[in-house]
Amino acid sequence: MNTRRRRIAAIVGTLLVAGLIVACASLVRRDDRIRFSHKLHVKDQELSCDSCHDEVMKSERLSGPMWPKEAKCLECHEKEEGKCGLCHVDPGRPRTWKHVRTPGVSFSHATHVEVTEGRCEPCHAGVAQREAPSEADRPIPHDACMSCHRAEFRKIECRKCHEDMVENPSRPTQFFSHDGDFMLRHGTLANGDEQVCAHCHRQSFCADCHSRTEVLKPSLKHSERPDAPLIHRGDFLARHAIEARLDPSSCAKCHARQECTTCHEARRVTPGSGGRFTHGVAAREWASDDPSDPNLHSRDARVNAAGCAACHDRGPATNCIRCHKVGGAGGNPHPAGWSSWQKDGPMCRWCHVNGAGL
Amino acid sequence: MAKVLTRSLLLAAAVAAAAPAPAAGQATPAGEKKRVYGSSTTMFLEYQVVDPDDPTSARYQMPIFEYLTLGSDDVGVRGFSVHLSGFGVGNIRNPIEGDRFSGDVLVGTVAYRTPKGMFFGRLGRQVLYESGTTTLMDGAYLRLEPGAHVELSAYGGFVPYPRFGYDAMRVVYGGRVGYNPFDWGRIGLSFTEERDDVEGEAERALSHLGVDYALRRWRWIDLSGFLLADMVDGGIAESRTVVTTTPHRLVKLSVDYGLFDPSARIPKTSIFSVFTDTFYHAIGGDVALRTDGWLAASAYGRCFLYGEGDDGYQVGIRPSVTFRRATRDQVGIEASRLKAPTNAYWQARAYGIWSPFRGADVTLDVDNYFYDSDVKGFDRSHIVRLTAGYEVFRNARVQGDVAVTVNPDFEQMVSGLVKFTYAFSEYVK
Repeated sequence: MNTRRRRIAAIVGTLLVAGLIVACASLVRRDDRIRFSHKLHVKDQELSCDSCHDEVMKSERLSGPMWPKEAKCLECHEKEEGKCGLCHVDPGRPRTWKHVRTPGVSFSHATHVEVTEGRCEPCHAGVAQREAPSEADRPIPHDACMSCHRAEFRKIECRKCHEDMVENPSRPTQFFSHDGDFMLRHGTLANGDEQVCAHCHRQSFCADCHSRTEVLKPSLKHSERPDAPLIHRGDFLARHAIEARLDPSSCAKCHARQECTTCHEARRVTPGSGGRFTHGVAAREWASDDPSDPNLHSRDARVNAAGCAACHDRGPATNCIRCHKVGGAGGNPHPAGWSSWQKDGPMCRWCHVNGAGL
Repeated sequence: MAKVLTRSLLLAAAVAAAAPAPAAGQATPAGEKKRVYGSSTTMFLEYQVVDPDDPTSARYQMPIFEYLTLGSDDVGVRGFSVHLSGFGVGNIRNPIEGDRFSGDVLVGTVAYRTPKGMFFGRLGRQVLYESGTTTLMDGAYLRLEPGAHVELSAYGGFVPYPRFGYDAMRVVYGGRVGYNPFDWGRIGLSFTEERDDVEGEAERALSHLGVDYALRRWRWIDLSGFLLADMVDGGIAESRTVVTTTPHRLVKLSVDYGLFDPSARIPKTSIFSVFTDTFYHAIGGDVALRTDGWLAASAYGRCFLYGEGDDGYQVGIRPSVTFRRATRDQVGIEASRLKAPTNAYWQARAYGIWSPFRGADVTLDVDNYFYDSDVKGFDRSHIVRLTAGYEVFRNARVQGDVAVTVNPDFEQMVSGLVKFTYAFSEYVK
């Protein structure tokens, strides 16, 4: 009985949902559209573009409407005057074709038509084959401009076309606008697409942070920009040990590992230089022979091996091998997952001189 | 450092010498305008330094920084350009290291681009973006675009490590094959390798095979990322993918995933490169909101998964209110929480930018950090910075800063800064 009730409930529920979808769909207003075949007019009737678009051919700007008015159609279709359904999909509620503005772009059809000798297809590729108007091509792809204007693009002369990139960002700048947490994403975006960044930034802008020779924090160099998400802000000196443990790769993007050592040595915060450096924990917790101790150095080495290498990569007496050797307190020097095929690598020769024992 | 400075000066001289060299190209027509640009930033700083013997003592550094940039496009030959930027530092009262004078070339290049952009060549110190990691290189970079959106590039040179006297000779070379139709995205296959002779024999220090990709076919969705394979030990060295969408012109969302192997950045000549299973994952996202008027806000969150427990995260929010768009008058706050395996902190920050009259601006930045575990006995840091700048004449600006800091290194520190900036970009005949 229960099963039967469930089935009935499922059927009723399905019907209700289907009815709801149909009801909603019927409420969606289908706007009027214009039926127009460029193929019929241009290809079959062999009409030239300026037969209809003569005003566009003369236009110097993109500010006005780019489509012919009804009167232009009636120049040929005078017999069809009043037969709205010939062109309008919904003649009961005719609407004017919406003009899509292209703000901030200066473009002269008149100048371009001169260069193309009256042909529109170099920019509006495939339009003559089209059976129906399509909004997909408006505005035309940036790539269509690039077929002739790549030189300007490469020379970062955006303003030849884009009047005001700040108020009216073009498509690329909109994609690469620097809001949100752009600082974290910019490397991924720049990778392999240097030209896009080069529109506004020269290499010296990147080198301010990425040159590894920068001696002044970017946040100090640009201290008048508190709104910018600059790295190393505030008391980064006190925080850098915390953040380096959270995301060590982010440090390594700009800083060579030797920088840690040299700076720590200069400020005498390394062991052996009279400093008080303790890895932030008690020595026993950090490294101990007693297996019951946490031996935190092991965990840190796996999270931030580059951080260890900054100070300890100075021969066997300073690194893991000091304890992790056969007969040593640290036991097996080879970590879990060690692959035997890695024999005779550069690091093997620290212990296995001339390949001995491999 | 002297060796480094000498090498940088030689590089700068080579760039300067190559600049007027005649190239086989179309000469710039007489009367055509060429772009010349440059900038100079001079900074006088005064601040205390870490003194391990007495952290609260007043021991001062007074470094002077000078940053210079000079460049020009279409010099003599159309498509030929020169760019040089560098810095000099004079540290005249360094209580720890003594008086020091140093400097370096940040970027110094001569470049040539054919008028249609089919060929591009660049020589000198430059930043490379051809693989997942950003690399600084002294060398040559060539790019060819034969058509059909195909890009071919190759490069080779030396990686400079001029800082702190580390002077290893490391050779870098590589290349990339890319398909870049620009409007819908790109895909590229790259290879880069560094050889290190710091131990006396050249070893493959780093070797990466990379794939970079971007997809922006749909109007408001943009996907980009890269994957680097470690060609020495095998496996993945780093990967990162970001998907950004703009569901409304005022809202931007992005989600990212990254996989990192910190040991992949260690030369394979190092014993620490045995830690090849130290991957950690970073998963996060951010959302940005901006209105046509006064409000803008962004929020971000990211968690870091190490696979050994003790995972970390970072979350934050940055709303700001702009009063006058023309003058950029703005107040904003930032609150964030960062949790790392070893410690964590809360950040509470407020800032303001005010332009009292044309050419003048004043900023105030109050930044506070509260640590979960004491850092050197301190449970918090406070930094207050006030700046005031004025455009003395066209393109020239003077700025003064004063900052008061209380942090684990100083019970109280007052530091100051005076900065002069001159930047120009002119078209000249």
